Amino acid sequence: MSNKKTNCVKTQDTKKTKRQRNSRVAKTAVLGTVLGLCASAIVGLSVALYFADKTVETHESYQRQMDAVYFRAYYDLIEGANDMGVMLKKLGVSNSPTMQQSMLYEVWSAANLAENSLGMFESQDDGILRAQKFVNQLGDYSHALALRVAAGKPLTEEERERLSKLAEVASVYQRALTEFGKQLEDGNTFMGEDGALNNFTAAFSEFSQPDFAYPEMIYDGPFSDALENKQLVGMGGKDITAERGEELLNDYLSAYEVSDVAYIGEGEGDIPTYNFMLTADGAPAFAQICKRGGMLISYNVNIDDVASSKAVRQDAGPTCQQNALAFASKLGFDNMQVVWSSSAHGECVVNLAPVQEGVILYSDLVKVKLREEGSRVIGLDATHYAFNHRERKLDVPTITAEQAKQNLSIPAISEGRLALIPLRGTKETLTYEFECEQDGTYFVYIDALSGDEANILYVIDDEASGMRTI
Amino acid sequence: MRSSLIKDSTIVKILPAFLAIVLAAVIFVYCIPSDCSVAEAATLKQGSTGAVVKTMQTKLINWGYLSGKADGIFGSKTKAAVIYFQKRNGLVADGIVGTKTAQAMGLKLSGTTTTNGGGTSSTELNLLARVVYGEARGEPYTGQVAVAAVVLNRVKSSSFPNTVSGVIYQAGAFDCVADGQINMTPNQNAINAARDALNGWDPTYGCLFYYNPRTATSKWMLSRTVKLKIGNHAFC
Repeated sequence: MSNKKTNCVKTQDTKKTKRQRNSRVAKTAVLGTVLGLCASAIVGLSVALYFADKTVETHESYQRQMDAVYFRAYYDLIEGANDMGVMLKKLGVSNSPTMQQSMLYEVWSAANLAENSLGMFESQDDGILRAQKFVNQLGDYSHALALRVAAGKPLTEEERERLSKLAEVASVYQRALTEFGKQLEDGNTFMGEDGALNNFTAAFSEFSQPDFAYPEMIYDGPFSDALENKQLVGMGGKDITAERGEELLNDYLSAYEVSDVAYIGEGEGDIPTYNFMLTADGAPAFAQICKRGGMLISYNVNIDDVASSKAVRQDAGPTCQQNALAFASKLGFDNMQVVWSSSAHGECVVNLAPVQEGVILYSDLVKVKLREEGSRVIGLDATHYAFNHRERKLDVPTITAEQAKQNLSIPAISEGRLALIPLRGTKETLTYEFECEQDGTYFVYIDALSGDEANILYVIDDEASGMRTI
Repeated sequence: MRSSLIKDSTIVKILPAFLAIVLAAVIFVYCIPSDCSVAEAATLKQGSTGAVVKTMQTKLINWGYLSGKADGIFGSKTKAAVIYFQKRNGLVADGIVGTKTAQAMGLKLSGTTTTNGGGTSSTELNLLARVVYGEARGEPYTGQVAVAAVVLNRVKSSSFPNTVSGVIYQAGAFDCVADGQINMTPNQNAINAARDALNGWDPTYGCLFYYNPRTATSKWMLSRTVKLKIGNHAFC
C-alpha cells in the first residue's frame, strides 16, 4: 500500500517535474524565438541599411557621371558656337584663298562639334530642331565651299557677305548658351529634380520664332534645302483613285496567287501613296501604289518563317537577275539593266538602273528582292526611280574608257562603262565605272570629261547585313 | 519518451536560430539590389529541342548543310549537319553547339541580353534591329520597317544627329532607350526589318516622328500632321 502510495507520489512528482520542465522549455522557446527574431531583425536591418546606403551612393555616383556628360556636351557646344562665330567673322574679311580654305574647314569642324554636342540634348522642341539644322547646314555649306576654293575658285564678294551674316546667327547660339549658363551658377547641376536640364530646350526658343531666318546657303550637299525639299520628277501621269490602284496592283502581281487584297489607307509622306495589305502565294504582303501615275513603288512579302520558303542557291544569280528584269518590265520600268546583285540570308537583291544612250543612270535605281532559287519576287523598291527618273541631257565624254583607265591607281577587273552618278546629293556627273581589285573590291568612277577621280566605293561583304558598298 | 523529450528540446533550441537565419535571409534578399543575375552558359546537343534549335536548323538548311524541314528537334541528322558545319568552319567537330559554334552561326544560346557586334557595319544593323524590337515588336512587319526608316530618315535630316547611334541615343528620342528595352536581343523579324530599311525601304517616305495615338501625351508631338498609320503607330 505504502509502496503504492510512494509510487503515486513519485508519479505525481514526475508529472510535476515534467510540467515544470515543459513550461521551462516553452519559456525558453518563446524567449529564444523573441531573442532570435530581434537578433535577426537587427542583422537584417543592418544589412538592409548598408545596402540602402550603398544604393544611394551608387545613385549619386551615376548622377554625377551623367552631370559630367552633360557638362562636357554643354562646354563643347559653347566652344563650337564661339569658334563658328569667330571664323565666320574672319571669313567675311579674308581675301586669301589659302586662308579662306583653312578657315572654312575650321567652321566645318566647329559646326560638327556643336552638332554632336547639341545632339546630346533632348530633341522634341522646334527651337532645338532648327538650331540643329542651322549647324548641320553651316558645316555642310563650309565644307562644300572649302572644296570649291581648293579647286581654285575663291569666295565671291556675295559669299563673304553671306558668311558675315551667318556669323550673326552663330551669336544667337552664344546668347542662348550664355543665358542658360546662368542656371549653372552656385553649384547647380543638370540632373536632379530642379536640374538645369529641364530648362535647356527653352534656351533655344529664339530659333523657333516665326521671324527667325538666316541667309539661304546654296550649295550641293546632303543637308542642302534643295535635297530636303526635293521634287518627285520621276512620276508622270494623272492622279488615280484607290480602286484603280487596286486593279493595277492585281495586274502587276498577276504571276502570283494574290488574294485578300485590302486597301488600308493613304500615305501622305514625300511620295503620296495608296497602301494595301494582301496575301501573295500564301504569305502576307504590303504594297504601295503611287497616287500619281499608279506606279508600284514598294512591295514586300513578309516571310518570317524563313524555312517556309526555299532559300536562294549560290548559283541562282543569273536566274535572279532575269526574273528581276522580267518583273520590272511587267511593272513598266523599261530599258533597265542589272548593275549590282548580291545574295545573303537566302535572299537575292538585284539592283536595276535605267540606261539612256548607253549611260547607266545610277540615281534611278529599282531594287528587286527574290527567293526560291530566284523565281519568286518578294520585294521591290522604286523610291529612287520615283524621285529622280527623267530624260537626262547627257554630256558627250571627252575621254575614252581606255584613257580613263590610265588614271586608275589599282588594277581594274572590268571594262569601263559609262555611268551618270549622283555626287553630294543633288549633282550628277558623267563617269566611267571600273570594278577594281586590291585587297578587296572597289568601284572607281573617273570623270568622263576631266579624267579626275569622281568617287570611290568599297564593297563590304558582311555576313550580317549582306554585301553592300560604302 | 526521453528521446522524444531530447528531440523536443533540440528543436526548441534550433528553432530560434533557424527562424533568425530565415528572417535575416528574407530581409537580406528583399533589400539587396537585384542586379546579380547570372548568365547561364547553354549548349545545344542531340536531344535538345525548341525555338533556338529550329532557328539553327533553318540556318543550316539555308546554308546547304542540312536538308529537309526545321522541326526544332536536335536529332542525329541535325548532329551530322552541325559536325559538317564545324568541319567546314575550322571548329572542333563534336556535334555540340557551344559558344564558339553558336557564334560562328550567328546564334544566341542563353537568355542574356548582350549581343555580338562583329564588325562595324553589322553594329549599325544590330543597333537598328534592337530599336525595332524594343519599340515595335508587336507591330506589323511594315510598321517595324517604318520605325527603322524613321531612324535613318533622321540621320539624313539636317535637324537631327548625323549617325545612327547619335539619333538613337539622343536624349528623350526613343522610349526603348529610356526604359532599357533597347538592350533586349532582337528576333529575326526585327533584324530583317532593320536590314530592309538599311537597303532603302521606307514605307513612310520621309517621316521623322511616330507615336502611339492611344498612349502619347506630348502636345508637341500630337500637333504634327500624321502622314501614315500602320498598326498602333502614327508616322509624321
